[in-house]
Amino acid sequence: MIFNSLAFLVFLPVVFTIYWLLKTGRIRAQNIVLLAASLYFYACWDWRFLFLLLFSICLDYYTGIKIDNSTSKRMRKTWMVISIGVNLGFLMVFKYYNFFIDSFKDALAAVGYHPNIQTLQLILPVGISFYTFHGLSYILDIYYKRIRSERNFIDYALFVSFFPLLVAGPIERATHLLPQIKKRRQFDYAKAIDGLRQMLWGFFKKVVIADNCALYVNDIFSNHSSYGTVSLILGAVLFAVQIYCDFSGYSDIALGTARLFGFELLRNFSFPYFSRNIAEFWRRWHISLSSWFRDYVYIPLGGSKGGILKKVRNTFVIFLVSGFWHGANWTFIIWGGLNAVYYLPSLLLSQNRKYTDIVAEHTLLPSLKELGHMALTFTLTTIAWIFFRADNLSQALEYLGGIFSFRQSETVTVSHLLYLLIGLFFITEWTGRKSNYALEHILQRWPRMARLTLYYLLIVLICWFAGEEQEFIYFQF
Amino acid sequence: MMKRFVYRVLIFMLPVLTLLLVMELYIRSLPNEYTAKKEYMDVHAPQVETLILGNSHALNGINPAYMDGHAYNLAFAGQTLKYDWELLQYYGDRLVHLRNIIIPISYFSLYNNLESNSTNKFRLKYYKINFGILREENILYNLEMVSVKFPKNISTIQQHLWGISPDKDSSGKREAYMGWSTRNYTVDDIEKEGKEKVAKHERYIRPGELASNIQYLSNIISFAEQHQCNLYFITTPHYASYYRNIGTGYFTGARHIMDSITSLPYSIPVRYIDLMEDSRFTKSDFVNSDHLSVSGAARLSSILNGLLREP
Repeated sequence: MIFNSLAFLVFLPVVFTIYWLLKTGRIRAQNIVLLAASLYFYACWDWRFLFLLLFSICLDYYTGIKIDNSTSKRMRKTWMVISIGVNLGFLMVFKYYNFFIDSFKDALAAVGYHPNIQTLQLILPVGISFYTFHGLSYILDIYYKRIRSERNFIDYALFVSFFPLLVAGPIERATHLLPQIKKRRQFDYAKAIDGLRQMLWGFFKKVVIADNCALYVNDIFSNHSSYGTVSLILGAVLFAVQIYCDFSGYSDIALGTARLFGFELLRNFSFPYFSRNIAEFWRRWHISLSSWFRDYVYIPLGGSKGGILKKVRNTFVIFLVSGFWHGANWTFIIWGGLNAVYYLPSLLLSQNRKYTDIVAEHTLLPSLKELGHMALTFTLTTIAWIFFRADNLSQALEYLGGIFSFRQSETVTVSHLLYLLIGLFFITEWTGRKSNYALEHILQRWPRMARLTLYYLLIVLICWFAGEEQEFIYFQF
Repeated sequence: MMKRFVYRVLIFMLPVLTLLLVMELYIRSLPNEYTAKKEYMDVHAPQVETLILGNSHALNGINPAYMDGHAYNLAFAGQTLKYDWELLQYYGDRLVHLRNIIIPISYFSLYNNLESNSTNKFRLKYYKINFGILREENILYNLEMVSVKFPKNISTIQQHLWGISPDKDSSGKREAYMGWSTRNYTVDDIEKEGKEKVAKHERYIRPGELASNIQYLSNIISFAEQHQCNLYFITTPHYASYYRNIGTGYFTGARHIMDSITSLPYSIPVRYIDLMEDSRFTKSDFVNSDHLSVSGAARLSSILNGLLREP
C-alpha cells in the first residue's frame, strides 16, 4: 500500500477511528491496533516479506535484552555482533549480493577471466534499508548503554514497524520514538489538524510537482543522446525538484499521519535547496539518515577530531557509505563520493558549522551573496543528482558529456503550467522557511476563508493531476 | 475534541465528496461506445454473420461497410483475448447466423493482459458495468472518478453538456459505422512515434500470460467449431517504423505459435493471416504507426472480404 493510493485513503480513517475509539489511556490496546495496522500495511505490498520483517524484529528484541542482561563486556559484544551481522547479512543478500557478484565478474573479465557465477533473482523487500537501520540504532544504543532494552514486545515491534515510517522513513531512534509509544496519548485537535495540513502539502508535492516533473525527467534521461544542452540541464534541474518533492512529500505525509495518532516523528527535511553551502545542505536533506550516519559511523570513527587526513578519510567514508546505502550501483557510490568532494572545502576551511541559522532570517529576500551561494550549492547538488538518477555510470557520463557538448539538438517543451506550479511552490517554500513545513505558519496568519480556499485549491490540483499511482522514489531503497 | 475533529473534517470534505459523487453518477449515465455496442448487439446479435473482435487495431482497421452480409465490429481499444472470449461467451447462443469470426493478433496479444495495461486498465469497469462480465474487484477500477484522470472526466462532461460529442470514450474518434471507428488525427512524425509506440507496448508485455492467452485462443476455436463458423486470426498492417523496432523474440514467437495452432486439424477453417509488413499499405493508410486511417481500413476490409469469399 502506498500513501498516494485509494486504499490508503480508506485504510487511514478506519485505523484512526478504531485507534481513538479505544478509551484514552488504554495504551496497550492502542499499540496493538497500530501494530496490526502496520503489519497489514506492509503485507499489502508483499505478505511473504512480512516474515523477514518479523524475524528482524524478533532478533533485535531478543538480542537487545541479551546485551542488556549480559554482565561481561565480551558477551555484550558477541550479542551485538550477532544482531548487526544478521541484519546486515539480510541487507547484503537482498540488496547487494548481485552488485558484488557483477562487480567481481567485471573485475575478473578485465583480466581476461570469465567465471560462471550466478546472480540471484531476488526482489528487494520494500523498506528493508529503513527498518534495518531502526534495528541497528536500537542495538547500538543498548550496547553503548544509552538506553535500556525494551521488554514489551508489542512496543518494540511497533517502534520498528509503525506504518507511517515503515517503508521510507524517517529513520527513527529508540530514544525518540519508544518513549512516545509508552506514553499515554490524548487526542489533540490542533495537532490533528496540523497533521492533515502537512499531509495535504505532502500530497501536493508528490502528486502535482514530483509526478509531473517525472514525465519530463524520464523522457530526457531515456533519450538523453537526442537532446541538446538546454534540455539536458532542464532534465537535471527537474530531477532535483522531483526528488525533493517526492521524498519530502513522502516525509510530510508520514509526519502528518503520525501526528494524527499523537506521535511526533523526526524531521527529515528543512528546506535544503535554500542552503548556502554543501555542509548546510546535508544538515537539511534527509536529516534522519544524515544524523544516523553521523552518530553511528562518523563519530565512532573519530569525527572531525584528529589530523587532516583522518578528517578527510572520515568524510569520504560517511558519504560513500551513505551513497551505497541508497542502492547497489556505482552511480550511488559516485554520487556519495562527489558530495564528499563538495564537502571537503567547508571541512578543511572549518566552514562546515557555518550557516546553522535560517537564510535571510530577518529579511524578505536574500542578499546577492546569499543568493549566489544558494545557486552554487544547488548547481553542485544538481550535478551530483545526475549520477543518482542515471541507470548506470556510462549513462551518467554521457549525460554530463551531453551538457558540456553545447549541442543544439532537440529541445524538450515543458508545459508552462508546470513552470508556474514549480515557481509558486518555491515561493511558498521560501515564505515558510522558518517553519517545520512550508504551509505551517503561513496559514496561521491567514483568515479562515482564505485558508479554506487554499485547501480546496490544493485538493483540486491533486485531483487534477492524480492518475496512475506512482511509487515514491525512496521505496526502491 | 475527537468528535469536533471528525465533524469538521467531514464538513470540509462534504463538498469535495459530493462533487465527485455527482460527477461519477453523471458520467456513468452518459452513453459510451460500450453501451452503444451492447445496445446494438443485444438487438441484432441473431442477424450478425461476421463478428469482428479484438483491440484498437481491429476497431480502427476493419470497417464492416466493406464486407458482405451483416458484419459488426465489437472490438474495443485495449481488448485482450480474454475479453474477446468473454464477449463471445456472453452472446454465445444468440449468434445463430454467425459465419465468420475475425480476431486481430498484435505482436503483444499473446503476452499481455488488460489488468496490467496502465493505459487501458480503466476500461475493465465497462465490461463489468455493461456486460456484467467480471472481474476486477478493486474498487479503484470500478469508479470513473478514480480510474480516469480528472481533466479527462471534466472534458467528458463539458463535451456532453456542450453537445460536442456524446461519446465519453471517444479519444478522437471521427466516424463510426457498425462498431467501426477511426481517429481524427495523423501523427506528425511517424518514424519517431513508431519507436515510442513499440517501447510503450513492450512495457505491457507479460511473458507469464502466454499460457492463459493460448487457453483463450483454444476456447475461441472450440466456440467456432461448436457454432460451425470460420475463424480468422489476423495481424493488421503496421507502418515500417513500428515493425522495424519490434524486438524479434516475441513477435517471431507469436507468429510461430499462431502458425502451429492454425495448422492443427479442426472441423472448421481456422486461418492466420499476417499482414504486418504488407506492401499494399502506404503511409497515407496509417494515422500512426500501428493504426489504419479511413483509406487503410477500407483497403484492409476489402482484402479481408475477399478472403471471406474464398471457399
